[in-house]
Amino acid sequence: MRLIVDENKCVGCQMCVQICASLSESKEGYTANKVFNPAKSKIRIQTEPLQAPKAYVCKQCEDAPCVDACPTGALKLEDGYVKFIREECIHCFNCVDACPWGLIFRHEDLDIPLKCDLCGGEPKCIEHCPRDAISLGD
Amino acid sequence: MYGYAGKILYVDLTKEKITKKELEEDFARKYLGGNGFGAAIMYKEIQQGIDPYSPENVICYVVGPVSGTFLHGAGRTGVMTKSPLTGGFADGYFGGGFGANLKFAGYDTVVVKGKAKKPVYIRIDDDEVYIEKADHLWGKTTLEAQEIVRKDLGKDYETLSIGQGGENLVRYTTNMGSLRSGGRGGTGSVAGSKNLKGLAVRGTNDVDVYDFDGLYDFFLNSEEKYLKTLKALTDYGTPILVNGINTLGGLGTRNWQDETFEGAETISGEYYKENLFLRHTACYYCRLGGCGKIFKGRGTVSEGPEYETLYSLGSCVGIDDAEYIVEADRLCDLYGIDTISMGVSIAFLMECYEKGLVSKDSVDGMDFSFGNGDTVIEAIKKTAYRKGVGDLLAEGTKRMAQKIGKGSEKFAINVKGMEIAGHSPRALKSMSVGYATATRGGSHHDARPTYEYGLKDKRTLEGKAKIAVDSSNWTTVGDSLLICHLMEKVMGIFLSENHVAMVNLVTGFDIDLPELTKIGERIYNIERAFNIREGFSRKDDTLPWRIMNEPIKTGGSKGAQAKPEELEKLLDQYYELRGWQKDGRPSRKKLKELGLDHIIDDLY
Repeated sequence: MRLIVDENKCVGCQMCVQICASLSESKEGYTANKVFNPAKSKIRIQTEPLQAPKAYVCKQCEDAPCVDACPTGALKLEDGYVKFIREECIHCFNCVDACPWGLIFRHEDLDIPLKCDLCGGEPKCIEHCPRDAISLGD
Repeated sequence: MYGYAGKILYVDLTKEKITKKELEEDFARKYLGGNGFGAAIMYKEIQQGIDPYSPENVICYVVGPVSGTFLHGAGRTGVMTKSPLTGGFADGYFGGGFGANLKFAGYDTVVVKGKAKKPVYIRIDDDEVYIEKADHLWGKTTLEAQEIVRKDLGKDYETLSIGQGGENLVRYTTNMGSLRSGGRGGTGSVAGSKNLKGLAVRGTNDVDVYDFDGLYDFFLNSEEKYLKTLKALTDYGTPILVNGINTLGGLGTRNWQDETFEGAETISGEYYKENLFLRHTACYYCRLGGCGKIFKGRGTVSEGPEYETLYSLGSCVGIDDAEYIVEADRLCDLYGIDTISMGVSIAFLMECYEKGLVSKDSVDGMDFSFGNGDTVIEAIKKTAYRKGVGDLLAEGTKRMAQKIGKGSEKFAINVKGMEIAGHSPRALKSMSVGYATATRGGSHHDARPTYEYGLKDKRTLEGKAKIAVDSSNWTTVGDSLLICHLMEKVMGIFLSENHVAMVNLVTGFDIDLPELTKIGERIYNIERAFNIREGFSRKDDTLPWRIMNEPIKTGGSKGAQAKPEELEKLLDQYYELRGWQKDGRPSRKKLKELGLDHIIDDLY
């Protein structure tokens, strides 16, 4: 299970990015930041003039290199996606280097990786996308 | 301080000196942000009488307290300077994401002065600011330059750039942020005169607001209203206005010889959507999710045209071929030219040509008849490089009329030198006094036409001056918060408790509606004082001769006219509501009341 962004519907408004950075939370991993900062988002939308935007967000790999790279089990595949367990994280950021897609991000203020964990199953970005461009799928 | 990045960045291109100053809370409370910061700084930094193209002129790039949040249009940027078109105050605002990123980088305003020896651009990477070489960007279009910069620096940079129009000092150029146009009055050429190609910014800092939970509630409460009230904009974009305004009889046609365009149907929003639509595109943090539309036409693709361009490069030049307007819009965007002034300048020359006031030789042998799409395209290209007749067109209608003479000034459609937008000053009385008093000239973003479009009674004068005053107080505050004017039907056509809530939730200032109104007035009075210091007075608060002396010939507003005596009456009312003297100067009392004592000596 992962986020799927329909790039034909997406208009590049960055609302998902803003919502993710400020409001995304999940029971075991992230708590809402309540500040605005796209550099703290786990989803990134790259816009180019005249073209469809491109979305960058964790693919929730079944055979996930980040899970293998995590020395403590802070990343684990469960319920069909890769969960992040904050308490287990030792801030080594091996996962960031391990992701072959470059879809786990870092921000210097934060001692944890920025990886989409679907807000624990109910992604806030889906709720707030004005064009219904984001959905959960395989 | 909540809602603010906390720093003002000064860049002196002559001395190659970069300075950062802390934003003071008193200043923020007094001027709010965006428009207010820029106006206050420009009034202080720009000496009276300087040439807009001299190194002494200043450009301010501004954002506001709302910038960088998720409120409507929070990605926007403002740019302002002393205008080479009007000689007065000019400000323009554009969507996209540049402004938000400037705020994330840590700046509320960037103040640029001086002149670089060679082409440069300013690179802002959070705390680090550099003046970078731009020889390789000079001569490039706005789009090419931004693509090169983002390729070099990374796609996480947001950029703005001038085009060839700005480099060649066309008087009505703009700064383009991505493909959003930074308004009117020639800000692009002032950058060009400084050898400043553009800015690139990357920001990774937090924007922290006073009451996040309250702001989120406010956001949720308004979300539904946006999507419902503004659905037509979401579906069609601003081109949806064409048919309605044409039916009203207020669509400037063939240089405002009339205001009903027989070809409106094929340049309407409905036509574009049906035939030339490619995709929606949105400014950052906009829940309309795209009043910007990408259209195709004549083998090219453009972000736009939007309503104003459909008027200026459509009905005003007599073009009913939607595809020509796509190409014209695309060219103006690439060259960084304001489409309104471009179209109205071409329309003016077309009328001169048809009336035999200019020879075919003097227009480079082209057929300058209304409706000639090829001529319009060629005229834009020539204007960007000031080649042949383009050198004349690049001056704007006021100076063109001075050169051509022979009574042509009667149909030079500008106010204070700025060509008027596509909202009729004859059909809408609030816009007649609105344009006449607008500090930047013929702009539809000082006073707004929205309220009167919704009124049944458009022919009487009663209450119309007040609409102009109240709507320009709202736009001034809106441009200071830095939000999009298209939100007005949801958040208030005039200043409202919604705007107060935004300020308080974001900044924690705890102000009320009278105080917010006072801030709007304060900023508008500084702009006014800026112009008066430059020699403007009541005599400049006027309308084109045609608008005042020729009634609309046909259509829904047939017979409507902004007679001189009507305008005088409206000006008296407007000045009284503003607390200005009969001669148009803000009164001493008013300036004191607004805490602008330092301006009194300059005006009296």
